[in-house]
Amino acid sequence: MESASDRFNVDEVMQRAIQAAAVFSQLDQEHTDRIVCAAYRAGFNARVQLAKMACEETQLGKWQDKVMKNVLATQLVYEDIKDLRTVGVISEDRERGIVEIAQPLGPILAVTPITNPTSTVMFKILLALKTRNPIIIRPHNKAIRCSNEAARILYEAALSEDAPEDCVQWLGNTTREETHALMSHKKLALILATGGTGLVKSAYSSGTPAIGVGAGNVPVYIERSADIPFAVEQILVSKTFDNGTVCASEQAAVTERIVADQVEAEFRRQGAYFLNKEEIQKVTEVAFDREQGVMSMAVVGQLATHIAHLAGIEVPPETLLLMAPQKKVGRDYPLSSEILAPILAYYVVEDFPEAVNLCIDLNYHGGIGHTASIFSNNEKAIRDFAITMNAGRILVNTPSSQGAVGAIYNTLDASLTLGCGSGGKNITTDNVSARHLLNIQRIARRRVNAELAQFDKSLYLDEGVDAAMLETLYYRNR
Amino acid sequence: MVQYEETEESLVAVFSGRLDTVFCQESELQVMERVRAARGRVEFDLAKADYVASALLRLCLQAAKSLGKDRFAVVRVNPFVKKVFKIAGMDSLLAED
Repeated sequence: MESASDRFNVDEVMQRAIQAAAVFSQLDQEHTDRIVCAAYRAGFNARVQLAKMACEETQLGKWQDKVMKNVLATQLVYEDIKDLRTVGVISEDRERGIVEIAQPLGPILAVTPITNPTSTVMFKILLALKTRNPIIIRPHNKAIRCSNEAARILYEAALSEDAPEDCVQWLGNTTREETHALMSHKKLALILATGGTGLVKSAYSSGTPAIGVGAGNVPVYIERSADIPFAVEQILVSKTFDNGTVCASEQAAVTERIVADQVEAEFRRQGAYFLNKEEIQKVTEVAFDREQGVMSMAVVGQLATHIAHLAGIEVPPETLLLMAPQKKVGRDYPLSSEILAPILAYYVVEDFPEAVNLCIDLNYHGGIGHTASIFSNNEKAIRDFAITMNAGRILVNTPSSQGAVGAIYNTLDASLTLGCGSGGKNITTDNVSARHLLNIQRIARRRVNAELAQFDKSLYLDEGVDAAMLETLYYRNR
Repeated sequence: MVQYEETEESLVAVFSGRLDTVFCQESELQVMERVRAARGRVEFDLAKADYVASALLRLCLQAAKSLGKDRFAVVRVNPFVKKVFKIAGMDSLLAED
């Protein structure tokens, strides 16, 4: 099947998308859901093949963990959305006299990342199909084959249920100019941007409505009441998942001195290696690009042992995670930044206030709005921690990578696009889901405001009537 | 299905039912043969159309291209079908009411 990448002309791509949108608008809920089911099943059935393809093409992560990402993107997302009403009348409140009707947005441009290529593609396609929006996939330039294969598989499945032609399109290698032309095209309804800061910024400044994401610099606070062996185990489950490529993975662990010895012993016992000062320096050289001020791609999604080898340090062969004790946060401490690899900055503080202060610093150091994590059995500590964090997700006693995406360890919406709110210059802090891809219109029946109707409105013209007086009169005999 | 009403000056192709991809694949050749052979104005009457697939939209564009916009129009669309043409940016093919 010929893909759009063979003949990429922005106007032609958009014209096809617009026609698909037109046809899509006629589908009822039952037909829409048949299409979504067929697409999900096809994607799920191809989960292993696509995971291996993604690993091979990007050279990042572990294919087994990418399978789990594909499972989330298909099975778990489908579970979340299958019963949602997304067509026609979706709610009726007779008392209030409000009827809500779901309408599609129109063509969506989905920008997908290198870290979760096939899973993000499938996730966005399922949401788009569920909401009757045509979608154009713009894959990361280093994950074109696997991303487009995922798109093709879901598209063919959708077509088998008589989905509109061109409801899914996918592009090849796109230049910055082509991406910009697409993003700012007048017929585009929405950009769903999952990628780096620059790309998300482009999306938001394109003039087209956009839902983007932000960078994560997730602090995990191991509070003194935590079950420490459990906490360490969960952090390792998270941080080693797909070799640390999930943006919601922990970037720094903070613990209190009173339990620090136990925490460190537990990390060592479970496969972490604590770097000394000199080793931290060596790992920093390979893990952080000082010129750009960001993590180095050389370590992204690589095994801890491989990173150690790159840095020229010896670690036990069974090492799963490199722990980098740090004193402070900031540009002078590069490992306090986001590094999507099995490297975890480590801090020891005296008490709760100091721990939370440090977590705030980490949160604000490149991770505003994303995610924060706490292991604790103290309800007040959990609440107070959460309130101070600028994070869309505060995960409790949960591995952060798997927890932030929802549906596995909690009841957050299953999602591979995690909003970071205003702090991250995003429009939402939600786990983006199908409901974000709808225009909801409301029929408003006459329900007259009774108090206002029987109130002597000429009193509003009397400057001598103040609010207190008004309230007394307005609610009299209620 | 499609039925034809032809006079000296015009050809009206009356479409009815579900105009999906299968229907369009089966009817396209015949419809375009009639369109090309028509001497006057050609209209696609969609009053009885329940559903319009991408293939039908393409057929309309094909007919308009073949005849020129002055000789072709889509007529008697119900509001749901009109909406489809509007979203597709093809409302210029609709005859003015």
